Amino acid sequence: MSDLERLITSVASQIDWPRADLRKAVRGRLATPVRWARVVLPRWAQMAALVLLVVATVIATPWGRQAVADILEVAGIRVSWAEPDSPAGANLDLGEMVGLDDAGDTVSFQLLSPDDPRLGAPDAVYRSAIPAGGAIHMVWRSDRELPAAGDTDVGILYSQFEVTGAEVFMKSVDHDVIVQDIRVRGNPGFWLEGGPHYLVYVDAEGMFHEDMARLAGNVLAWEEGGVTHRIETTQSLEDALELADSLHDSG
Amino acid sequence: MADTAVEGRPLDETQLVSDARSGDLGAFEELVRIHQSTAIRLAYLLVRDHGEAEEVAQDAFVKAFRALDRFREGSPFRPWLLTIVRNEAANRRRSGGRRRRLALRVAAEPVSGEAAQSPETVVIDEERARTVLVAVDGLPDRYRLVVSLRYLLGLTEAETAAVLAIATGTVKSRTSRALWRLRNLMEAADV
Repeated sequence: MSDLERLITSVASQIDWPRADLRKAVRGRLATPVRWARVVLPRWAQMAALVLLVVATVIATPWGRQAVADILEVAGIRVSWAEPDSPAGANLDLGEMVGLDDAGDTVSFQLLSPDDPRLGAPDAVYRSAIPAGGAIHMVWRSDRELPAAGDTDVGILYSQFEVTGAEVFMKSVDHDVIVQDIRVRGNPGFWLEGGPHYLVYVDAEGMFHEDMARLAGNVLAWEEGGVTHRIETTQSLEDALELADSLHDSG
Repeated sequence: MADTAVEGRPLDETQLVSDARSGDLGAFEELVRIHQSTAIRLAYLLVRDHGEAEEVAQDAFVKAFRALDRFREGSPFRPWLLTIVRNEAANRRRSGGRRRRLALRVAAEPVSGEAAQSPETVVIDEERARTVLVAVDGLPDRYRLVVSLRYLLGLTEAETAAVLAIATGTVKSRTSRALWRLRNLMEAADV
C-alpha cells in the first residue's frame, strides 16, 4: 500500500460517519412475517384457487403490497428512458434483441409465433437469460389502433418462458384488479385487468423468481406444454385471445 | 454451534445466513450487528445525509432478509448486502430528484480516544484530512466511488467490483488512475 493509500485509509477514521444500531428497528419491521420461501405447490391446475387467495392477501394488506415492491427493488428493477429512435420496448429491460426467425434457436422450449393479421409481425424481439432456458419477449409498438401502455412506446408485450416446476402466478396490487379464470387454447389460464401486476413463480430448483409486468395494462397468462405464456396488452380480452389463437410453432 | 455461542465467539456466517433463511430473526440480528456499520457508511457515501443513510441501511436489511432465499448459499454475505444498499440508495436519489452532493465532513472530535496530542497537531491533522476528503470528493464519480469503497470503507477489490457491478480489472485500473489524479491534486494543494 502506498503512502497515499495509507493516508486516505487513515482519513476514513476521521470522517463524521453516521452511527446507529439498527437491530431493534430492523427486527421490529421483520416481526410482520412475510414468508415467500420455497413454496412447494401442487399442479398448475390447482393454482387458480391459490392465486386468488394470495392476491386477496396482498391486496388486503399494506405490508403485503410493500413486500412485493421491496422484492422487486431488490431484484434491481429500475426505470430507464429510451432514446426517441430506439427499437420498440428498448426501455423495458427485456434482454438482447434477436431476430424473429432466430429466436426459437436461443431457447430450450418450442417457441410459438403469432400470426395475427391485425398486428403483423412484432416490431422487436428480445431474449433474456432469466429464467433458466431463456425467455423470449415480442413487442408491438403502439399506434393509432393500439394504445401505448403507461410511459412506454409499447402496446403489446408477449413473453414465453419455460417453468418446469410448480409455479405461482401472483398478480397484484390494485384494489380494483379483476381476475378471471379462462381457458386459452384449451389450457388453463387467466386474465387480469386493472392496476399494475407482478408475476411470481418458483422454478424446478425451488428458486424464487419475480417479474414485474412491464406494461401497466391487462394480462392474459396461461401454461401450455410446460411453457408459460403471457400477453400484456392495452387491448381487450377478446383481442388478446385472438392473438393467442393465432399462435403456431415457429421454425 | 451451541458450544461456540456459549463461548461467545461469533457464529460462522454461513450458519447465520442459513439460520436466518429458515426464519431465525436472532441469527439475522447478528448479521445486522456485524455488517451495520459498513452498510450505514456505504449509504452515507452515496446519499450524504446521516438520517437518510440510516434509513437506507435499515431498508436494505429488511429487503435483504426478505430476499435471503435468493442469496447463493456459501457466497460472501457482505457484498450481496452492500449491493442492496447501493440499489436502495440509488432509488432514493432517483425519487428525491437531483440534489446537491454534500461534502464529507471531518468529525469535530477524534473518533477514537487516541493518545493525547498537542492541539496544534490535531488542527494540522484535521486540515490534512479535510484536504484529502476534498480531493477525493472532487474526483469524477467513477473514480470517487472506487476510491471511497476501497479506502474509506475498506472493501476488497472483489467486493468493490461486486458492489459497483464492474469487473475486478476495472476496479484495479480505476483505482490506479484515481490515485494518480489524487497525487496531482494533493501536490497542487501542497499536502
